[in-house]
Amino acid sequence: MSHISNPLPILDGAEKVTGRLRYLDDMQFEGMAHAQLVFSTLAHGRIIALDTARAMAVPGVLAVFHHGNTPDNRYNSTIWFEEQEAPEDERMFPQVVRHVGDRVAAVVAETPRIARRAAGLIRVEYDILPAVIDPALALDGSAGPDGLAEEVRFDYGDTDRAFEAADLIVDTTVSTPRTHHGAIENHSCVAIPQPDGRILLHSPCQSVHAVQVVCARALGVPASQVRAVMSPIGGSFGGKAEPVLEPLCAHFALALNRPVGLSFDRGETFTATRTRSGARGRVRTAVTGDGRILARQTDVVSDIGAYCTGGHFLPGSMSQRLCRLYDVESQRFRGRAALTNTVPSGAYRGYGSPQIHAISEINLDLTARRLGMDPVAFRLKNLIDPYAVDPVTGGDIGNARIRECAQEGAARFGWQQRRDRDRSTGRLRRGIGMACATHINGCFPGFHEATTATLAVRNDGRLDLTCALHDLGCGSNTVLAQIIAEVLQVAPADVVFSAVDTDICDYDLGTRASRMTYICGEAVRRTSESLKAVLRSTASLEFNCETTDLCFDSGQVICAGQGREMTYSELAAHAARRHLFLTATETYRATANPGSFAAHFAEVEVDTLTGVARVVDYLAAHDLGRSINRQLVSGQIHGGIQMGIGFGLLEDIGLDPDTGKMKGDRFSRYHMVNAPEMPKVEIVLVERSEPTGPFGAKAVGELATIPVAPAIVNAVNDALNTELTCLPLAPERIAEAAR
Amino acid sequence: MRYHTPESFEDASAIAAGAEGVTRYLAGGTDILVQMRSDIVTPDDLIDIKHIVGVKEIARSDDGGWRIGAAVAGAELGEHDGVGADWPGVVEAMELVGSTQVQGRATLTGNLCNASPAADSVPAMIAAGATVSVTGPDGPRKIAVEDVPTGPGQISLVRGEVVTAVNLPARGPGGGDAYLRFTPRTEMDIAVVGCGISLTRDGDTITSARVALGAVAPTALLVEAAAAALVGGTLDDGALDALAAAAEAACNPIDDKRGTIRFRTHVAGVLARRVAKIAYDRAGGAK
Ligand SMILES: Cc1cc2nc3c(=O)[nH]c(=O)nc-3n(C[C@H](O)[C@H](O)[C@H](O)COP(=O)(O)OP(=O)(O)OC[C@H]3O[C@@H](n4cnc5c(N)ncnc54)[C@H](O)[C@@H]3O)c2cc1C
Repeated sequence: MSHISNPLPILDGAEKVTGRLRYLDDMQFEGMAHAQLVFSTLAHGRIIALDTARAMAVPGVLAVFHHGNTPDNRYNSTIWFEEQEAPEDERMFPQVVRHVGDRVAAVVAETPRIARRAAGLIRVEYDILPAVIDPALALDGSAGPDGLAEEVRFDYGDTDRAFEAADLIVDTTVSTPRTHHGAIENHSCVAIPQPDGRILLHSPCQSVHAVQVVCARALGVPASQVRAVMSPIGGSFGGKAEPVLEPLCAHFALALNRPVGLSFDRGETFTATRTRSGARGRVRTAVTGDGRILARQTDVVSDIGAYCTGGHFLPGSMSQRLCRLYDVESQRFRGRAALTNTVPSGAYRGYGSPQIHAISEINLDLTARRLGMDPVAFRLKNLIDPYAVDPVTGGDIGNARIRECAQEGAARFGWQQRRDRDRSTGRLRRGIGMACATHINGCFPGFHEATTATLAVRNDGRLDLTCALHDLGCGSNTVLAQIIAEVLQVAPADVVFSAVDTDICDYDLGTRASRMTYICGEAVRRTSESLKAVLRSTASLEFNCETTDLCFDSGQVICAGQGREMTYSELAAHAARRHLFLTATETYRATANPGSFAAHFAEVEVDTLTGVARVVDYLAAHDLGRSINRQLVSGQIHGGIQMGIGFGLLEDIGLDPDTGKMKGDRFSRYHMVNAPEMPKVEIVLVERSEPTGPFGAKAVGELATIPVAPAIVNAVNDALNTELTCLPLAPERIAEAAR
Repeated sequence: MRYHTPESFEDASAIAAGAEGVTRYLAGGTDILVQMRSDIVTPDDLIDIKHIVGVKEIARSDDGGWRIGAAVAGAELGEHDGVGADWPGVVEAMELVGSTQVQGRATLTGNLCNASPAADSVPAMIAAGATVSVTGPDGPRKIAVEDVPTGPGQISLVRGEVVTAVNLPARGPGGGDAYLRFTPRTEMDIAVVGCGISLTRDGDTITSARVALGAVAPTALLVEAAAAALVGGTLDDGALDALAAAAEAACNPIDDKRGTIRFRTHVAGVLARRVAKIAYDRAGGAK
């Protein structure tokens, strides 16, 4: 039977929905003490006095940690392998705090309650330093030389001449909000000192190897002294890509020689972990009168917050996306990452793509409007073709089927009919919008984009997969099990995943950059093929037949000629007698980085009096090569739309422009979209197979959220005939514009 | 903390009157337990009123109105045909509170006594002309709902007083009420503005009206000027304009992440118009 494209339910789904899965914060470890952090209430200041006496006097308090008694090792929490270069601007507890929510101290006590109470008794005195909240001010030099964390430029073709030759130039500036990941599980970590002097960390993380190297740097010990194990994760969306708590927790545990747990509540996860960076981007597009894009100039400033915790990669990743969607003869780009005295930004589903696509796709829609062209027709005139070469990196974009997404999507959505409909001029106005988007598949050619997997037949006939696979709840393990099941003809549930443990698994980059299905999937496919070859040769010895006489079905090797078959477990037992083991290890190094593509279509209804925009109908067309699991693909797309509606219409952490305090630091003041806001979603899958992907598959998970906000904003602008460009289009903004 | 389970309101009142530190009552607990868990309030005495006989009853009162026990949950109120037929606005306001889970516990009394300016049922109760029955050291009394909250988290009850029930007056002929709130999101959200209106009609003419606004001032407001804009007319455009203007004029909101002063004021006018139309239609017999 074929396991590919099957809508297999997520393998650990039952455990999750019945509440039986234990997350880290549910677990008890013997002798565990509990840490509570104390956070800066200032956006920028130097700590001149810290009074910990009252906290220390509380019965049950074990220790108070702060800049005066913790290692001063500098580190960068975004590194994921040793020797990776990155600005080392973090330390466990800085003396100069750089944002509201920065780490000032920690109390470790016998219970969380005691720790919390004692933490409230710590008094901090600061010298107030000037704070920069506005990223534009961080860059104009007025705030000192440190404001620019990273600058990336590219320039190809003759942009100046193209602008001179253009019939029309459309110049827009779009800004996008800083947002919170909103994973159900907050950040949490447990550190346990080991008898051999090493430290064991349990963490719901995206990469145990990143936890290992970051903690080693922060502690100033070799990486071999740190063992990291992934615990079940209650969602991440990038928020747990960087170890935030782990270095601290490891230090507390080693210092006290006791297990220590550190868990954030929602407010702490909002203010003291990571956010999506804000971005403000100006785009000038030069077009001919008949809608051909001649050139584009893009200038984006990202507000990355107080530390280089991932935001500094954004100019680079944004620049990449601009060259892989439209065929534009000449482009000039400048991307800058600005350090501000605000909560740090970091990895967040799409890593810069949602921002840059909002910035560019809103511009393109307004360009189409000024040209008097249909936005779909205008895009079709300029979209990239399969195997086009990215003019900046020189890599090709693979079997890119964005044209099919736009065409088939528009047809199924009834784009033309909806466009031709009469427009209401009453209180409720309808509008339609669309946007295209692309995202990457893995980190190639940057970093060592490789995965090593080992697959072995167990005595019971199931298959042991040893690999650092971090399923963040999206069901990547289910997909990988289907790939193995397809090659080796077993039930997906018969794949037994190893613990994700630095002591057990080979090095892996972890779950990031849309690499799970495309890279790890190809790695486990190749490993499965390798194991299949082992099974074949071993079975041919047992059956005394040619390897070509064998076939595989339902966990059995079958020699049809002899009418005999053997289960994998029987084969393993026989092989063991010959001192043969049914195991295979493969390392797959990526050789390509094709694009995944999507075109999304939205219809909105806007209440011009209250400013509420509702997405009433939605279609998502995706080029994902081939779906390994339709149900999980659909789940990713629905979730991406839910997140994208929030990004386009409601979500914003609301930093106070004067104090840098976060106004939206809880869910009562930070609106994520929930069920009633979800439109009916239709999904169109364009499955033309990517030659380099496992069974033709490429990524969908990050991409699914990228075109959503611009599609919706374009629809609102269509409904109201406005040019709103400041996201999110919260009711207040829309009501103001509609007045 | 001492946890008490008195079996009468007199006992509850006596415990509260004799207590010294922070005292709270436990009705549905959907406010107080959340506040305790997040260290906002740490009561020395927590008095659970749910063991008191009759506290979950809804009964017709002698004057033809309704007496709703202090521990009647939103879900129970929502399923009660009689109250829903007479006071659909009060019921729909209470049903907006929280989720299915919260509805199984949350009460009108708790919503009122928690004294959030954004409490949904409060403007609806004020519009309805509801009162609460109170037992206390000086004996029982009735207080108009609009006189209970005195500021965010503050109520006019004195130490030892406890609400025993909410009283809704007799609806009488030609009456209708409605409540709407504005939230950026449909569910699980806190009102940016809430508006409750109750009115009576004689034919097409409005003979009496009460208009209340929530979340636009430290306490829910009874806006008499807004009611005056309605009485004597037929809810024509002029009356709606006057209603909206009076509602806007009454607003004294805070400026926060959930809504600026300008926006809340604007929406108060928008909502008042919409609510008035629903109440008017209901008073005219619409379901
Ligand atoms: C998830 C969630 C969503 C919510 N959504 C909404 C919403 O949409 N709209 C809204 O308005 N509210 C909302 N709330 C708040 C809360 O549910 C309501 O205010 C509810 O009506 C409170 O009623 P209760 O019975 O649970 O009160 P409790 O928590 O039991 O008590 C609340 C307060 O009232 C006092 N009190 C209780 N009984 C008496 C009495 N008999 N006499 C005197 N004082 C008394 C208590 O001392 C306490 O201070 C929400 C709460 C949660 C947790």
